[in-house]
Amino acid sequence: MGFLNPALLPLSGLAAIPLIIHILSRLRLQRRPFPSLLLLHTVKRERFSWLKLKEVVLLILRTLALAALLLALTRPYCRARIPGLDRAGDLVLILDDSYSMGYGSRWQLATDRSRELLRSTGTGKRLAFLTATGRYVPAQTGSHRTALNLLDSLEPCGPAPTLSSAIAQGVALAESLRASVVVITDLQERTIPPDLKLPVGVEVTLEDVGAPGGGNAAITRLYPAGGIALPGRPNQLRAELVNYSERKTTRTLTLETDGKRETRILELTPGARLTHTFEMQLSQHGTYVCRAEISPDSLPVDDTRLLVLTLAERTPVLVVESDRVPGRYVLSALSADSAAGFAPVVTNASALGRENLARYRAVVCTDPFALRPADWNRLRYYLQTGGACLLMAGAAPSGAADLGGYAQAGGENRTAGFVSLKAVDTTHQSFYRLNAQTFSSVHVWKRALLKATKARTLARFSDDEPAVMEIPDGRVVIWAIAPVPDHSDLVYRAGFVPLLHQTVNYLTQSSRQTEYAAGDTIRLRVGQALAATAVTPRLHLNLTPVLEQNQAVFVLTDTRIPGLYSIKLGASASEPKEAIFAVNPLAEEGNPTRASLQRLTNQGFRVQNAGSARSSDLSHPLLLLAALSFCSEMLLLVVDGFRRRHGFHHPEAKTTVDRIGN
Amino acid sequence: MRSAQQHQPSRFLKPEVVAKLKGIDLKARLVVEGFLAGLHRSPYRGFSVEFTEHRPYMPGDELKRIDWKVYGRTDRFYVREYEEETNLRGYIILDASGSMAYTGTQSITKFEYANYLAAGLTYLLLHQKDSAGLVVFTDRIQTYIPARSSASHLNVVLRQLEKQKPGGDTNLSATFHQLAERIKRRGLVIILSDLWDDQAAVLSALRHFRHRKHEVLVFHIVDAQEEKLDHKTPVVLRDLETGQEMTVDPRVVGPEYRSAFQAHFRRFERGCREGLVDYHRVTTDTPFDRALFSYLERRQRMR
Repeated sequence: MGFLNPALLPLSGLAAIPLIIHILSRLRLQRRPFPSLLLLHTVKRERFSWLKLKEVVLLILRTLALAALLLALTRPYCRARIPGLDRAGDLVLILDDSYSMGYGSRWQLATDRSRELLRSTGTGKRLAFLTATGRYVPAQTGSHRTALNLLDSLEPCGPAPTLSSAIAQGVALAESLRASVVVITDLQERTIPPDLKLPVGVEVTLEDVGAPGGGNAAITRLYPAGGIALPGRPNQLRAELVNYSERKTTRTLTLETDGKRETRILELTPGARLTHTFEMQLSQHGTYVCRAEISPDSLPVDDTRLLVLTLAERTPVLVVESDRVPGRYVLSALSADSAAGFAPVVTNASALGRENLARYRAVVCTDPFALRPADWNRLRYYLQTGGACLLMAGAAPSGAADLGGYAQAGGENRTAGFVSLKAVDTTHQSFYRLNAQTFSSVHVWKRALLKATKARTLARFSDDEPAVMEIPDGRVVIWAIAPVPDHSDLVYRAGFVPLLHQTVNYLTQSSRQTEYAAGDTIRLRVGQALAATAVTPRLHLNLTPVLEQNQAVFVLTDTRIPGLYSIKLGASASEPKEAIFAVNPLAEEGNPTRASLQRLTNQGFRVQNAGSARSSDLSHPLLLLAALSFCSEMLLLVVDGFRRRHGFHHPEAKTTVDRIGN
Repeated sequence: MRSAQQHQPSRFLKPEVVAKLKGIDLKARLVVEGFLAGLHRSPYRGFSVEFTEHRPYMPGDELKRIDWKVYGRTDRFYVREYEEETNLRGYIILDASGSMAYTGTQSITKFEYANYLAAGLTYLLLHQKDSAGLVVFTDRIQTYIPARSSASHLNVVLRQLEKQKPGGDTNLSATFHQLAERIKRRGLVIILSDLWDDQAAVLSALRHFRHRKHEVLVFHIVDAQEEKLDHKTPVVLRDLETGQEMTVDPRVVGPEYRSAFQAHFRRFERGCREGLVDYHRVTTDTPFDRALFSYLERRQRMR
């Protein structure tokens, strides 16, 4: 038998209080002389058995109630055998402390079971304790106290995509220690990848604290839709919801932005994924925090999603032209709509070295092949430090050319006939609400043949060659068309201006990442700053920048808790004073889909239910016993009062009184 | 003859009590025997101041009892029969067992109370020229002072009372039986006791006194607290004679105890009445003189 709260065990001694009171009351009883106890013997005989019985029973009930209550506080349990644990001398315990473990009673079950396991290994054995989020107590003899202290400090708020890393580390430890491995987890499908294989000779037991059929609904995404958010015009925000439950559920979805709230009541069928769009209008430039919430359930961490929306006052854009490909069409397009908020500046590629690229949110290069290697270096650095770039790479040279390492241009720029655009990805923000027909009628005479190994193609020419590509980090978009009439009639099409606007807005929106997943590292690059203060959902921290490539970088690593994080720059900063970031949980954190037992067994895991493997928790039976004892005591007092009130006499004793008299 | 007033000072016999007792007689209701002319009727027909009848002379009668006048008239020999007024032999039987040392809320123990009664009764007997004796007993007879009628005898009794201390066990019935056999001549037996013994045995012993033609007067001395048992909290009671202890909650057992106590009294009353024993219950919260006088006055009215 063990105790989950052994520190409270000494309190059990307080159960002797009723006995002590009883003894003290008897000791304090006044002693008086009395002439003769003859009559009292007869009377006592009448009530003696009841009084003494009542006294003894009350004392027992009171002691029992108090003892049961105090023992229940220590959370006693009967140890259960863990298969395999007795053979190996040492233990490696891995605890899944991801968010999903906060669902229902999983965390309580997991920590209780962990405590049991930690206490059940002898102090002479080596014990290692790991968590899914990377917390670690190394294996050494007598590390139980350290492990227990760590366990007490843990919360189910760790972003842990999978348990792979923890299991791999634990298995490696177990191999060296010849120890058993126990993993306490809720067996989410995503946390134990199918490709995770166990080495021979290491026994890994998965103790399942999850339960099938969890009733969880979540917001998995919140993002601006319908193009780039602009002040003074309707904007759209989309929230994607999912109902993981096997039951239909009705949830209230609320969007709060700029102090305004909109609420919708949505019905989610079992397993449904639903997207709801909010329309909102923001009149001012600035940074807005959008919060989408659904009515909370057993796993509240995924019931809220945050988005930081920045509506810049005027977006400075640098247009880099060459003599071969002038930038006036781009300049004209960017200046076409003052409401679009662009502040374009034109420079020649030959003078690019004199421009401070950090001043611009985006660089539009009409002839990237005119850039020199030094220019590419600067451009790459600019991109690494938060910049964005649209490369209109239509005017490729005849031979092969490298596009700054982002793509390779083919050796031939085909001009025979014309091609048009097709397969336009209208879901991309660049093409949002733009009619695909508009582009299918564009005629392109000259274009570049581009290849990029990791680019995402947003549109193709009618001969399937890529026309528009996006480099995966969202900072570079490459057109295979030059913005001049002798390459195509795109610049004369109605769709050119909105396409250019939406593309530049898309690039400038993502130029500074404002949304992170829990556990990610937030990095903020600024030109100059000596110090900053970080405000997280739980802490205020002072940050000292790290110098990287002559720029100050503030790094915030502890983002386990979803919420708003801000970094306020010191007075010496040349940048805007505060940067706000939204940290959200992983989209599928609350997905309760469980890994199949067959799959886990095939991978070499042994799976058992933590509830059945768990030792019997005796605290509930003890609480029940305490309650029963208390009720019995009350009942006994009521019966005694009834007896006294109605003058109950034992018939046998009356005869005894008469006998004395006669 | 020296007066009974000429006694040495005693705390059990206060002057005011003496003054009150002077006007009261304690007469035997039943026939008793005594050796002096006095207040009480005697069963003996011998020389006396009061002629009752003649009877024919029988050989062996004393010649001085022959009524010669009747012979002169009848030429037959007749003797005179007389009813002899004699003084009373009073025996005060004082219980000095441990239970008599009890005092509840009063400042006087039952034994002291009994001593006051004994002193007053002794004075009364001696004052009316009767004789008084004192027997002090526990589980056996501790002190036996024969009945005397001299005035100085009061001091003897009072001194004995003052030096007597209660304590020890009790055996009323055995003692009474013993005394009944020991006291040869009829007299007035006044028992001062709390009667804590086997009730049937005690009543039987009292009837033994009656069998021996004694008049028996029982003062059943009780303490008020002993009767009521009205403590407010549980208490450990220690028997003054056996030393046995018992924890009781008077709030619980009180009512039944009190009713048992009353039943105990009634049984004594009934038993004494049936045995022609004069029974009187006194509680120590009643001033002893009032208790004594009220009894004596009631007794006088019942003659």
